[in-house]
Amino acid sequence: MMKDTELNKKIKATLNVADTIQEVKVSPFLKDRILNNLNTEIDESQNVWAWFTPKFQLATLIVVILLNVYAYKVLTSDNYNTTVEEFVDTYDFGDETYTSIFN
Amino acid sequence: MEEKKIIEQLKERNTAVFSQLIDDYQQKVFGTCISFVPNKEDAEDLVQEVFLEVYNSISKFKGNSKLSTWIYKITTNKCLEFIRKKNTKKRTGFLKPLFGEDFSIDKTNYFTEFNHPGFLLENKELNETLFKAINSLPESQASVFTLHKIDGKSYQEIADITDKSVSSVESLMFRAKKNLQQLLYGYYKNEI
Repeated sequence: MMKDTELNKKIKATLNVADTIQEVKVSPFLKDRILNNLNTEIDESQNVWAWFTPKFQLATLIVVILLNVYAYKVLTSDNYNTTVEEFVDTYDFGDETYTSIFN
Repeated sequence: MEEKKIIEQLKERNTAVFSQLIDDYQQKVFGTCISFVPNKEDAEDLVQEVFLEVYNSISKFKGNSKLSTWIYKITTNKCLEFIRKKNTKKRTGFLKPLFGEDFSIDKTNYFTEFNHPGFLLENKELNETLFKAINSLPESQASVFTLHKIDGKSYQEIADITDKSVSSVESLMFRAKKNLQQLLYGYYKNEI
């Protein structure tokens, strides 16, 4: 076991040893590594949409336009109005058949 | 270049300005990293992470503090995160909170392998003991002690980095020293 004076000396020396730590120079290639990593990260983020080439973009646009045209035609066709009228008749939603106890 | 202009250029993803920023700060950031993590390879990995974070988060920087303070804040957080992760892997973390804080120097399970070229050979053992003792302190005390005593930052700089007042930094420093003395006393007392 150490004596108290010895102990205190050692504690003091340990606490003061931080003052003797010398500066460590950074590795000369660290900057290149950082920039390389950065470029890889940028490339990776760009690669996410790399498959979506202009040809694909054009094809997608055409499909979307065709779907819209088709949907518009379906909505404006007479068939749609007839179907709605039939629905109204079936469930008596029309004005003519509506009765109220207050009338 | 003026700091405002540098920040603007960084926000516009100017790689030349970023490269200049690395030249200006890599040594200082590395100094802080190796003060927290006494292993050259780990510290260099952390420097890389810091600069990538700076590049990716510069758009979020509002200019409330100096650019250097913001970079040191990221550095300190990255280092503490690294130590936290490594410490939880090494310790049986789920038992610790049940039985309170283990207030003794962990001689065997230090979070990394010592590889600090700045340690003088004759002081190597003392340095390792000091770093292990620091690792046993509560995180706020450990970070203030490391930033001041090992990295050589002023109380004002530490206050800016940690978002604390200078007086609370002083108080944390006082408690850290006191706790370190107690820890080292217990450690050396049991030494034969």
